[in-house]
Amino acid sequence: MKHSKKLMLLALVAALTLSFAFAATASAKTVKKIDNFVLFLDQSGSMAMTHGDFGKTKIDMAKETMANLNKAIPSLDYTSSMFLFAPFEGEAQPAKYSKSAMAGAVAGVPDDFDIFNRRTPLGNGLMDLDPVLAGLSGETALIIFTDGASNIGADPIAQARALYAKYGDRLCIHVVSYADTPHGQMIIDEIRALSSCTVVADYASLSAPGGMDKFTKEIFYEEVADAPAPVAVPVAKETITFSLHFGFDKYQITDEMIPVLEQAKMILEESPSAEFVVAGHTDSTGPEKYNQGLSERRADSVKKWLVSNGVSASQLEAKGYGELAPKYDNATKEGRKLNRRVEIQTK
Amino acid sequence: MKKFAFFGIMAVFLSGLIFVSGAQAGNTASIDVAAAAPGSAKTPVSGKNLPVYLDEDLASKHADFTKFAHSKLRTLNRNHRLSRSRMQITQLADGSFRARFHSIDDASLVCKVRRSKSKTIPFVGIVSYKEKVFEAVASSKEGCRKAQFIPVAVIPNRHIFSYKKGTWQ
Repeated sequence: MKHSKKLMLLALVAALTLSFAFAATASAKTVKKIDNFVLFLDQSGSMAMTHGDFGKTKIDMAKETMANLNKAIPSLDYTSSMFLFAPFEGEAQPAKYSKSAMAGAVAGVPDDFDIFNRRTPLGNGLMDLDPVLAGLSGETALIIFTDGASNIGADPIAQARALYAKYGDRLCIHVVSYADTPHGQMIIDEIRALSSCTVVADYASLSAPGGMDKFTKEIFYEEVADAPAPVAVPVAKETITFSLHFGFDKYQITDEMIPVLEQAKMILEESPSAEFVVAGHTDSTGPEKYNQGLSERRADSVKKWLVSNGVSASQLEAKGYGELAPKYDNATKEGRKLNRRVEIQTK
Repeated sequence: MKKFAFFGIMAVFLSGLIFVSGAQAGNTASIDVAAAAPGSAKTPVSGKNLPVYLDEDLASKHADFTKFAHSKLRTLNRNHRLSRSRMQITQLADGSFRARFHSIDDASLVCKVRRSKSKTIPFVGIVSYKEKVFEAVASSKEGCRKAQFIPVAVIPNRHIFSYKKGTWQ
């Protein structure tokens, strides 16, 4: 009798566990974030060289990353393809995504090519790839695997910018970095800096526990509950921050502030139809009323400089927040220094 | 008869031309390739106006700025008024508690360095990063702190710094 009670209890626990498991799988759904993806691999001579930090050739590292990426991508109805550059070759033409086909394409990339006389025309590669992108409908992730080194031919940064100009929000370029030179890393960062959609990754971050899953999830899919309706993490308006290092009680723009203001102006020019708030902030040192007035005068100075240098006055509103909107902790010296800032936010 | 043969041959020849040109038109359907604007031949390239991708000196400054930016992001995270250690907990109308904190994702950092015309500020650096807002709801304040936080918003940021007397500021 005692034995049968134990059995019944065990059966009950098993049934409950199973029902919870089914409930869990039923309540989450994997939904694709993009329609197409293109893997674009650098097969230039520098990729056949050993990476300074990892002791493997960069092409082997890239193939390893791509194989792991292929395993992590959910089997949803993407259109996938894989191309190589330096020289440009099509390894897998755009087709319905198949894990096994992509695994075969990655495995088929040669890794014993020559190093010499094989520089990296990434810019030309992006031009060669454009007709492929033109043939895809919907949103596309272009994932470049490169060390960014030894570039020749067309300017790769300008070409990437030209692709964004042509496709707008329909395209996002992500670069997986195998850079082991400052120059290679700079080119990669310059391409990344062209759009805030980009997801940053390198060999180390994708090899770390959970790194590949995070990368894949950010680019390829999201898990949403069946009910209520899926809610994506909202992306807020961008904040541009800088410190102009005004002197005590000063609010006039000096020559030393101009390089920073020129960069701020260039950022605003990326969105010619947007409206912005130029916000002045102080730390909590000194009387509140004084800080309020000072922040207003400083915000106004920045607005005047921007307007006198070509930004439309109708795009800008100057506001002083004094010490009332600290972003950092006023209890520390570091925090107070960070709070003395100018922010420009899109309205 | 000769005339007929001549016109017959001409007709076959001309219709062939039409077919060939039609077939060629089908083969050369054009695509406008996205291409950057060509450089101006009137402006000779010098050390001062090199395109960024050819500028080796800028690359070393970029590496220097990247180190600075990583350290700066740690400072921003440490001092943020709503960092994880200073999370904001508010009571909701139903009596439960909601905790919220901000965290800058160091892995999202992207750096860019530009030369400037200024003699005292020869370079400016721009770091882009994503600031994530996390939230958790629980029945008590203590429960909030231990709960699993989920991202509820992403704030893109760009922070501009200047290079003066050998240091980024």
